[in-house]
Amino acid sequence: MILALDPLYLTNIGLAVVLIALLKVVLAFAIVLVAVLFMVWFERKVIADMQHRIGPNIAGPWGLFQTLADGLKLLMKEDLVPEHSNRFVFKLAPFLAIVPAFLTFAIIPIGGNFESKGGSVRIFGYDTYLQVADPPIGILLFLAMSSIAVYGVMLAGWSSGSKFPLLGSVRASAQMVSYEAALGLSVLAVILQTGSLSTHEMVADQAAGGFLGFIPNWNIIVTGFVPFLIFLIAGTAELNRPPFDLVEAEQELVGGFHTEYSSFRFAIFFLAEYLNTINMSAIIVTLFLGGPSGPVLIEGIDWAWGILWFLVKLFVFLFAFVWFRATLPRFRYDQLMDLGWKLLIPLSLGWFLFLAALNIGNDRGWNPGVVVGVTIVGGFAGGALLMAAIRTARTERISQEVDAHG
Amino acid sequence: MLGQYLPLLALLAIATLFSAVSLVMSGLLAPSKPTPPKLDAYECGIVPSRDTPARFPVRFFLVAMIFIVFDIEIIFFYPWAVAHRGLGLFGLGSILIFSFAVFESFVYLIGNGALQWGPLKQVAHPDGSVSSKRTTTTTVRRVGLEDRIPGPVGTEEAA
Amino acid sequence: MTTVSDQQKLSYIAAQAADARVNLEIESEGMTLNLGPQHPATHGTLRIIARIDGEQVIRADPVMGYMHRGYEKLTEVRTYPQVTTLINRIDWLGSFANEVPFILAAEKLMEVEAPPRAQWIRTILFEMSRIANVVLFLGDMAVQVGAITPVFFAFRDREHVLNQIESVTGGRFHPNFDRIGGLKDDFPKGWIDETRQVMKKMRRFCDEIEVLVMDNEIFQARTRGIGVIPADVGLSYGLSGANIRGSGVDRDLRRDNPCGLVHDQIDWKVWTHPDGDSFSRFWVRLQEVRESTGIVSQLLDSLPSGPVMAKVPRIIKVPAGEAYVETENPLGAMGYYIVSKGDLVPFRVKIRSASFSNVSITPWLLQGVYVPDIITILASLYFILGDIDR
Repeated sequence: MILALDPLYLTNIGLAVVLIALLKVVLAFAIVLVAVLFMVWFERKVIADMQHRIGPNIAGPWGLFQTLADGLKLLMKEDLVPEHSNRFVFKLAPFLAIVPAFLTFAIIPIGGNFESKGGSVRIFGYDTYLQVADPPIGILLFLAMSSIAVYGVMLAGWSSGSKFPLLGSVRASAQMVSYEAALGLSVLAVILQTGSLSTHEMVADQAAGGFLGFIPNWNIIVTGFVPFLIFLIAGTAELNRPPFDLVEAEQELVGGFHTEYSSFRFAIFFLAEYLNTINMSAIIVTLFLGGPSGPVLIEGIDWAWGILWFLVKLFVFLFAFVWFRATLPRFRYDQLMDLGWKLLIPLSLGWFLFLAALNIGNDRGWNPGVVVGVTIVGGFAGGALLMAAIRTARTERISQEVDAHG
Repeated sequence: MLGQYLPLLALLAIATLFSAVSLVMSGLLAPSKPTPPKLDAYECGIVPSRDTPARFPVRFFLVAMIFIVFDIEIIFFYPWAVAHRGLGLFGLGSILIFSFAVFESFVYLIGNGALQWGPLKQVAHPDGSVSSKRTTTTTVRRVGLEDRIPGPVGTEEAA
Repeated sequence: MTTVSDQQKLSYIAAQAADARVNLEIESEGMTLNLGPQHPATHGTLRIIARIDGEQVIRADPVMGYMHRGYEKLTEVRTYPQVTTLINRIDWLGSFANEVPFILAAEKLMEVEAPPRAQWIRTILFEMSRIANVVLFLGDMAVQVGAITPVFFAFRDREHVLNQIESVTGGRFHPNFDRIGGLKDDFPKGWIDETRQVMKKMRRFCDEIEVLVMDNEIFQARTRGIGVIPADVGLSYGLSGANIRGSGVDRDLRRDNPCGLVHDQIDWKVWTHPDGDSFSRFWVRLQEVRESTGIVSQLLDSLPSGPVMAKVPRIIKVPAGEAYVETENPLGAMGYYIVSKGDLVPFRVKIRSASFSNVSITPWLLQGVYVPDIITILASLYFILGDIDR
């Protein structure tokens, strides 16, 4: 099987290639940091606007440097390690939160000419992809990193030696673990279409073709919206953002898992949270909305169009996450778990099997109507089974309680 | 070609370095005057009387265990999804059987109440005699100048 | 009276107790969680000692007194007109309403009656302080459930009401406007028309909150069937105000005990909701704000002319005797029991504040609930810490 390789590495690997690769790494790092600063400012401004407030407006033009100022302030704050904490784990946890967040960004194609050059751009005479790395495991890296991020949150709460963070981290690990299953299952639908795990391949696949000349061949349409919705919901839950922000439910758990963190250790968690928001939006764009693919309108600056399209799409989701936060109340723990386990996971599993059957049927020349029919029947059967199980469990519990208390 | 992973390693190094350097910077710049109240665990202004217990309810472990079932399922799905066109009908059949087996055990788990959380809110009105629908007119008693009866409080049926 | 059937009651209690029961074989040892006195959700200094198991409360005890200011004792060294300054600060969100029952009780002892116009203005300000108070609850409840935006809308629109109160009394939070025998002053010019506009704005705000918060699926999922208070339990704990009307008990002192206020001169409704859960308490309060705006508008229409102050001696000496007056304040029934020995100062004042009784139900109510529900239930009971601790 031929894996598409970054054309940069197809040339003779010399000092220039290494330097370009390093440049990309450093650039990605810088972009991420600037993006986080912007994102925090953006969120505060948008929410302020929705709430009839002004928001940050003192530091810099339109308060743009507010985040920077906050970061510097946190840098100079006293760093406390609670007495009852497990010191080593307490200091390790922020690293476990931030490093995976940075690494996820590496697999996101943020630009490139997918119209004619297969997603590469020319830098200093070398063709290369506009992403730090395009490993064959691709999207699995994202899933792996989000799994590691669970440890950051969990260990932070556990090691604090305090009750509110502990409750927060217990919730966090259960929640993130549950929604990771739904997340992974909905990604599968995209992989069925692409036949590859590489993020670059996914974008290239979506850039090619289309329907009726103007509807793009994006996975959101090809996979039939359901995986996209599941991914969006599960992604929001994975980010611990409202309406799934039980982990840091301020009204109940004070600060959640980072209650005991102060100074720059807190800033790192904060940074990681917003970094993850940006990453998740970017992953959604990559998986379902064709990433940086889009028409190149002016041929001379073809590298700019990919970045532009990517930013436009990214923005939609960044705004959506902020919008959720300003609008929605918070779920309760059991409601969240029910949504994840009893709806999203079975639904994404069923949808995955449906898409797989459609693909195989397509290859073998089956009538798609039959596949749809069988799926509907199977779906109803599975759904009925699930409903029956849920009802059984509930009546069982009620009768148990009534028995126990007359 | 494993060389592709080298940029990832470079990014890992930079990210770790960034965090470490800023923490060191913070250590140099920030004051350090710890006092016992500062170092105590936060508990809403109350001095914690007992240590935080190290044990969680088993329910959370149950979630973790069920997750592993699904995680393994997904791990099997990934390579299959990449290669499913090549595997054809045989592959589809086997994945259907596999999924059925997993789904069945999942239904069994749910049926046994393994994923039962939360309060039993339905029990508050078990026989349905009190509707949970919005009431706007039925519970209203009009008062005014003429028909105001100062009778005993709350004698009226509020359906 | 809306009664909950015995079967309902039994099964409800069974559910509560069952939730609280700890299965010793598999569950962990419990942990004691202190919610408060310094906690972002208790908007004050109430402390709840919750013994929790996992996410479930086994028992919860409220601890109060972190804000005790000794008003009952302080009133004994203040002349009657001076007392209103103090008792303004009991329920600080609807301050004017605190003054009214005290003044009414003193008037009862002195056998003075305020002129009609003063009674009307008193009732208008009384209802406006109810609006100022409960509007904040409508926003705050949403915050406690996790929606951060509605409270800003509440603050924004509450400002209009406070402005109107300020332009009459001179004080936004602590008007100190009520006098024995009447009021300090009449309305300023143009106030009535402005207030009509403000009442329209408040009705719009209620519509907004209804769409934003009450119709929200998650909000309903978080509050429906949560923290159910059966009517008889609520009555036995002495709940009052919207908390008991949310349990279906049709009790409103404005209608049932109209002493000195003119609620019996106009047409309005008492709202109740049969469910008794957190949602119904929210619902009842929302309807009451609407109703209050209607009451204010009606009173403005029928405002009689005349003086705002009856003839009272310059130095107020209240004749010996005892009087108790209770009114339906924003938080519930609030009353003052005044014992006078004929001096310049009261001999003893007992303040019956609504929140104190309303909070007393928490040990019963919080048993078996989940940690996130503690917050929504406490928020729906709606207490003001100054009203608990006095």
